[in-house]
Amino acid sequence: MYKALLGCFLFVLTSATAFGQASYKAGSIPQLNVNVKVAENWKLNTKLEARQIFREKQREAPLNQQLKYERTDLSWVLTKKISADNTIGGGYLARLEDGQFTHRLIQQFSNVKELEVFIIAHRVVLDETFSDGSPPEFRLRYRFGGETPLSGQQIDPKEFYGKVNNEYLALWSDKEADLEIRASLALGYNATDDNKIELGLEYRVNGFSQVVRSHQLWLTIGWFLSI
Amino acid sequence: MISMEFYNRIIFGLIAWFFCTPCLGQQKYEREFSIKHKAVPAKAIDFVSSVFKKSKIHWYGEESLTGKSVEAKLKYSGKRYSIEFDESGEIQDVEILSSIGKMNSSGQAKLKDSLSKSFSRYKIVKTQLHWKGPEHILKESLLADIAVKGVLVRYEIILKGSRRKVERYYEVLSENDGTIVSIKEIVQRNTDNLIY
Repeated sequence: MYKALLGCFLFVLTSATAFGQASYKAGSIPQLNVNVKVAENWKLNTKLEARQIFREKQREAPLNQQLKYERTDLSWVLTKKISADNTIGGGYLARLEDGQFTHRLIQQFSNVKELEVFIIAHRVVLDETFSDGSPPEFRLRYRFGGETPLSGQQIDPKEFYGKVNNEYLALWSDKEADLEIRASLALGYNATDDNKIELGLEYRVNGFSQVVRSHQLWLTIGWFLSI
Repeated sequence: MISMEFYNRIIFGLIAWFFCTPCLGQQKYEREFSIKHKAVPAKAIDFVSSVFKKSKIHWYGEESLTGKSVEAKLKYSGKRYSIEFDESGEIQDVEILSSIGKMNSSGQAKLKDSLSKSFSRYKIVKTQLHWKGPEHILKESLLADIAVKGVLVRYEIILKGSRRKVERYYEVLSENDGTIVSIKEIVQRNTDNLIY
């Protein structure tokens, strides 16, 4: 796992220059996730996420290497466990970017299964985004993820684990469709079952409907707390 | 203007809290981890190597409030074995991945009848044969690939079952004749980090 993370990091470093004429962004996404049990089978997830850009290159524009704050998201998703493996949920996200608010409605379904040494998860999300001066955007997302302990057969307290995610997003806006693909690899530390921290790298590519694709590289830092 | 010192204090406080919370949540302490061959009691190694020739063995240590134990997991002749020892290498029990179809037919009927009364709906996801007994009898049973006289045979079943319209995972321990010994709900791991 350590070798895989190192390999991924080196790939990220070397590939940044290989994007050529494509537009790209590289930065960090720290994220705080707080989950509160509100009733039997019901949980409320509150997520605070901010993006900072370290390096940015837009098509036919000079390279910008100045540290820049981009945006902050705050979301609430209420989920209900409908069976041993499945949950459904719905929520709302508010985004503050350039002094303007964007609103998003979220509906999601997830399936999580514990196998011998892996925990695998499928997530399907439908969301609708609204902001002043822009047409509404609709997205259908599917994410496959998994995590495995780095020692033993299960992720125990005070142990490290590895986590991977691969997500596909279909986007519709103003009668145009696009696709975004995301892949991430993270190293997690399970302080307790209710307190985890993850450090990873995420790669995103979109703009498949355009001449030049857009690439994004993010250093992700996630803190997951359950109360 | 907020100073850098203020930010540093907040970050230090959050880090300290993150590393301190494990100390608050230790009412149920259980940890399982891979161990190297040299850390395994010689008696346990002798037992496993005398029964399973040329088999790749994975050794695990387990710590809980009740003590420490060592477990050997291996695949041999197409079967998956899990053998538990205490800290000194004394064998505790043998688990073999199996199916409910291996139970005698009257036992199966009795067990299915009991499960239907306990759950409105259920689906068996994993079955393990449980052997417990003196070391020499367990060894004889493993070599003969059948539980000989003197071995307490039980079935450990993991199932997804519904009670009062709520579905959960349960661990059911059953005697060889289908009599249920215990039903325990399995506490599922927190997987919020895979959902959000």
